[in-house]
Amino acid sequence: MRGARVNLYSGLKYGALIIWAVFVVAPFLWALSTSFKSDNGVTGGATYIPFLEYEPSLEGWAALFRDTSSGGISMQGPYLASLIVSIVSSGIALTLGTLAAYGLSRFTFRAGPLRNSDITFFFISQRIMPPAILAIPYFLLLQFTGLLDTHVGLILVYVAMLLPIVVWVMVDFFNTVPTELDEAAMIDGCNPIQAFYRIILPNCAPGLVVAGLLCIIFSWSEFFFALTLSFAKVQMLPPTIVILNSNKVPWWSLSASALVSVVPLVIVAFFLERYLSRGNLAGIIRE
Amino acid sequence: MIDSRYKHIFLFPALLVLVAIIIFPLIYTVRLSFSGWDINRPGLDSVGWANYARALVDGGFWNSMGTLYQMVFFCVLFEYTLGFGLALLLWKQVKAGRFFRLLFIIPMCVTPVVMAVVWKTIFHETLGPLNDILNWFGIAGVPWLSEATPAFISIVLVDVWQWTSLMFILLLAGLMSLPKEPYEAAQIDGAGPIRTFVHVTFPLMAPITIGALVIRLIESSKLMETIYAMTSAGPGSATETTSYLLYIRSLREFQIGYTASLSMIYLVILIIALALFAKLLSRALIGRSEART
Amino acid sequence: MAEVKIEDVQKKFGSVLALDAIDLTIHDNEFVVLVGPSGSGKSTLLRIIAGLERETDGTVSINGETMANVAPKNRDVAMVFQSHALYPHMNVYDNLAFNQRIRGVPRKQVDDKVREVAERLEITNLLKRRPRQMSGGQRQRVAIGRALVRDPQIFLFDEPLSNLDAELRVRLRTEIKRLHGELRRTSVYVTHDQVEAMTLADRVVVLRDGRIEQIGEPDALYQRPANVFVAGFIGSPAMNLITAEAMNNLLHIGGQTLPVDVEHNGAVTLGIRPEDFLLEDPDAVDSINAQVTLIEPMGADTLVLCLIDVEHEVSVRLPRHVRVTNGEKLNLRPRKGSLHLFDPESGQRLN
Repeated sequence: MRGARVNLYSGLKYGALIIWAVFVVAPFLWALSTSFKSDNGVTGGATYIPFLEYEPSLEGWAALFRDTSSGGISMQGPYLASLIVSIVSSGIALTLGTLAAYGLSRFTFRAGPLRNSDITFFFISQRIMPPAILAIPYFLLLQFTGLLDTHVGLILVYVAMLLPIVVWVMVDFFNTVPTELDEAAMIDGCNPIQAFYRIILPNCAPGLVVAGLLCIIFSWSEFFFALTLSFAKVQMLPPTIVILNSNKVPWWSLSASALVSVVPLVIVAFFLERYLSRGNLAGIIRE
Repeated sequence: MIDSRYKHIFLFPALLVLVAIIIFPLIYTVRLSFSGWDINRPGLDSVGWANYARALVDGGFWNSMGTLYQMVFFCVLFEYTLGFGLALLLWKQVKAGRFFRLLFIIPMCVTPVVMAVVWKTIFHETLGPLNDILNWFGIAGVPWLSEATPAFISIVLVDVWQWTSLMFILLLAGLMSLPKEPYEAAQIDGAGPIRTFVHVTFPLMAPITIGALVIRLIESSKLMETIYAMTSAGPGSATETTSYLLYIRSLREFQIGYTASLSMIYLVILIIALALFAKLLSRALIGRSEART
Repeated sequence: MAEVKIEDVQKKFGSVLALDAIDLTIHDNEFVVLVGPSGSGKSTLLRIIAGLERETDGTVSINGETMANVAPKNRDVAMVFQSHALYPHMNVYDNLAFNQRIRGVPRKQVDDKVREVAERLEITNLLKRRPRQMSGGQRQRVAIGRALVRDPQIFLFDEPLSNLDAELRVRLRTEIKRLHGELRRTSVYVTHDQVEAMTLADRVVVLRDGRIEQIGEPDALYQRPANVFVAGFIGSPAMNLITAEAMNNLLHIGGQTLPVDVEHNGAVTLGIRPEDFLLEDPDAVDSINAQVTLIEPMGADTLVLCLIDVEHEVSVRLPRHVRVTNGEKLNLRPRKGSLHLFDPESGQRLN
């Protein structure tokens, strides 16, 4: 009797997991299937399996890197732009944010009644800001400094957006590294900066990786500022694809471009899972 | 306490960037809210409290707050519940557990807006697979994106698809950090799985629950991209959230001064609501003596 | 030459007073142990000497130079931490060599120094290992090695043996004593274990609640504790402390009397060590009657708990071969000069 109960329970468990897994994968599979369709696979109603229900074609994929004048999407430009902006802004945010997080973890700051935890909270609370509110000032600011529609302008904005994430992850991480290590380094002859990058930083790889991956994810997927602060000279990936939507671009090239744009993120997801399963994320949330 | 002369080098670069790029624009927005800058009258003039007065009777604005509130409520509710459920399922050693974990983390890592575009094709009334599958079961096709309630549901569904993974990850990490002793005690006491959950797991997870809920609430309050891609706030303004409305009014209709005042009102309400929520939840789950700000 | 002078030092953490009115001079080549219960401020004082904390008031000077604005790395001190604090991402060789490299010492010299220290501490076979691949005792040895490579003018130890198991503790303690004998460097050692204090120190500083209770050679602290706290803290098993009444050079304990040489009249706290009781014949003078309540054989001696006149409990240390039985009546005579009298309110020594 016990064995049957266990089996039923276990069966339900796996059943639920599989249902959710199917739900997770469904849009990807649909996009994949659709990307190989052409007219006949779409206009007659939904179709799923190639060869059985429709004639597959490579039209969707071919259009990706073809020039727009010949009906293509020309994705290499936006791809490159997103790559540059993501990597550079993540790098800068990681550097500045880690330095700030180390400072907040090790030293005592006081500004009137405000102490360290308030400053940390200040950093993290920036995430509350809806991009829609900042859109106008940023637009005007970048226009004024001539940085509108440039890589630099976007990078600047993204760094501000990413700093809270880096500080959030790294402050808690540093708090788990005992201060005796810094002290031993300083007695050994380091000034605080040397202690930081020679002793503490080399032991922070997991935290840095998680923070870095999160930065890449957020900056690659950022849509709003990419939409409003760049148009002609700089085109980022997410707006490019969304605009395709309204340009009467056929479903197959749309699906293909969507898939291509998220592939790097799936790879990032793989690494993120690896590092999260090692780390102590729980400490971060308890805050 | 270590040599304090260096501490500024660490903190200040980041603090400066943040102040320059977020605080100053915010202050500028406050100033803008007192001006009448729009497409007919560009420039920073001063109209006193006129914008705010107008905002108070702006039906569209308050509607969008209501819509936002409803959406956030359902989204976070489902994401939390499902996320917790998945976390519980994958908590103990499961065959292919690693595989499931990796699979489940993918939705939160991919570009929300791009996936929304894909979902839009799925929700297509005549050509999309969703109605097609419903037809297999004899259910009539739903006008997903052309009627108010289905459109609302479709947005919530997409958001749940995307962000349940975040709750899942956070809650799973929390579960894995729980101490074993209470469970052993419960086992000795003879508690079944449901009772163990109610009396051991859930209370122990209280701080994590609060943290995860607050994180997700903050992020989902900005709900805009999915709507942009899927419904453009339609039909009518059935799925118009405040962020979307602010976007339209400021950058499409160019009512810069007025939208600035809307932004300020929205921000204040949002911060108060979040703070209240966090405090109430803390008190409810953790208890008076331990509740923090 | 390394003399540390601490003058009227006070340390506050916010509104909490961690150290107050600390006056101490540590002489050249001296091994000074700071001992006390947790919260007594001993670690804080050590960290102030190291430069890791800054004193709120008072002066700390090394060799006559005030250290108020001198960073730890410029004070020529080396510290061994309780948790070894070895650099996890480096192997033992690099851990030992780090402080030399960062000062730009030429590679050959660094190598010589590291190997010499490794040999002295018998850790040469561990040079390629990482901290996580070693046992607690090995790690602590490497931590000591790191300090030796520094060759500083002052060695600082912050409860280095507290995290080790008993056997290891004794072994490393002996090694530290041996090292000091060879190197003769000024050393300041913090511990809560009074046995460590007594065995290692040239002089002992007893701290409680941020104040110095007594400074002196181990023997002096043992023979003449300055107050009740030191009396009870130093020595294991602890000194017996019972209430008594002094009147005209006579001590009244319960209903019995003992002769004593003190000018005080009135209530006193009497201290007498378990090993200072001598077993006497029933008709001897200057002795007290006591009844055995508990016998604890400890191997080399036996600790016997006795009641004097039902009220006062004392523990008596008897040699192994002496047999007593539970309930037996004993006649105890305190050794000459082994009575310590303290004021019951202030705790200060009276005789």
